[in-house]
Amino acid sequence: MLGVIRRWFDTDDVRGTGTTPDYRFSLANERTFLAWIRTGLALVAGGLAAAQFLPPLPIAYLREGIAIALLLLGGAVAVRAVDHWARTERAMRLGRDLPASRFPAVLAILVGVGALVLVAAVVVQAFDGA
Amino acid sequence: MEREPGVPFERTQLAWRRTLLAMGAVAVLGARMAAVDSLPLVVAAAVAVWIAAFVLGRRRIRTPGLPARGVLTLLALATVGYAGLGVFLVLA
Repeated sequence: MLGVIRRWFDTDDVRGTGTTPDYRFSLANERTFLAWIRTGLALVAGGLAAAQFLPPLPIAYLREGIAIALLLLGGAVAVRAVDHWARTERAMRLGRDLPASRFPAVLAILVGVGALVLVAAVVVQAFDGA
Repeated sequence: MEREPGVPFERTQLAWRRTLLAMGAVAVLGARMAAVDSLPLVVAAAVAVWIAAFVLGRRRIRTPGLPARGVLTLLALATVGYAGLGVFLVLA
């Protein structure tokens, strides 16, 4: 665990292993990392916006729950992004297969389920109000 | 093929700019939330983290080649920091 975290900071350690791949691949890996960071930032922005701009919802603490879920998901995406960047860099240097990951699928399911729950909540609220 | 070496790096520069811009938006949202709760130190921290990320990112994109030690981790930690700031302000 500590070794993994050390590798996030110590890029010399990443560079010390194996052989340098084509720099274009490393730059592509960096851009993929940045795209994940933007995904994480978008989730964090969604959480901050939900906390500030949603009116209080009929279910107690639902607004706070939505905000905290989005914020935690955004933070998790950012941490995963560094780990995946380091593992990909290592795999490229060692000429191994790129690391496989279930994370994109998990994130997609979480966002999809969250959206469905909110659609259901809006529909229920519309019928209750009518 | 002559111009090819610069293109992947230029794409990476643009990706950094987009990311820093997105982080600026998050910093403004976080700073606003802290300002509404009258927490000037948290406002200052939200802005300071963005300025630090901006300076590090600019240094990164001015140097062709691979990212310097830890700059990617610091960028991710800044994102986690904004998430933590949000959770703190929601619970406070």
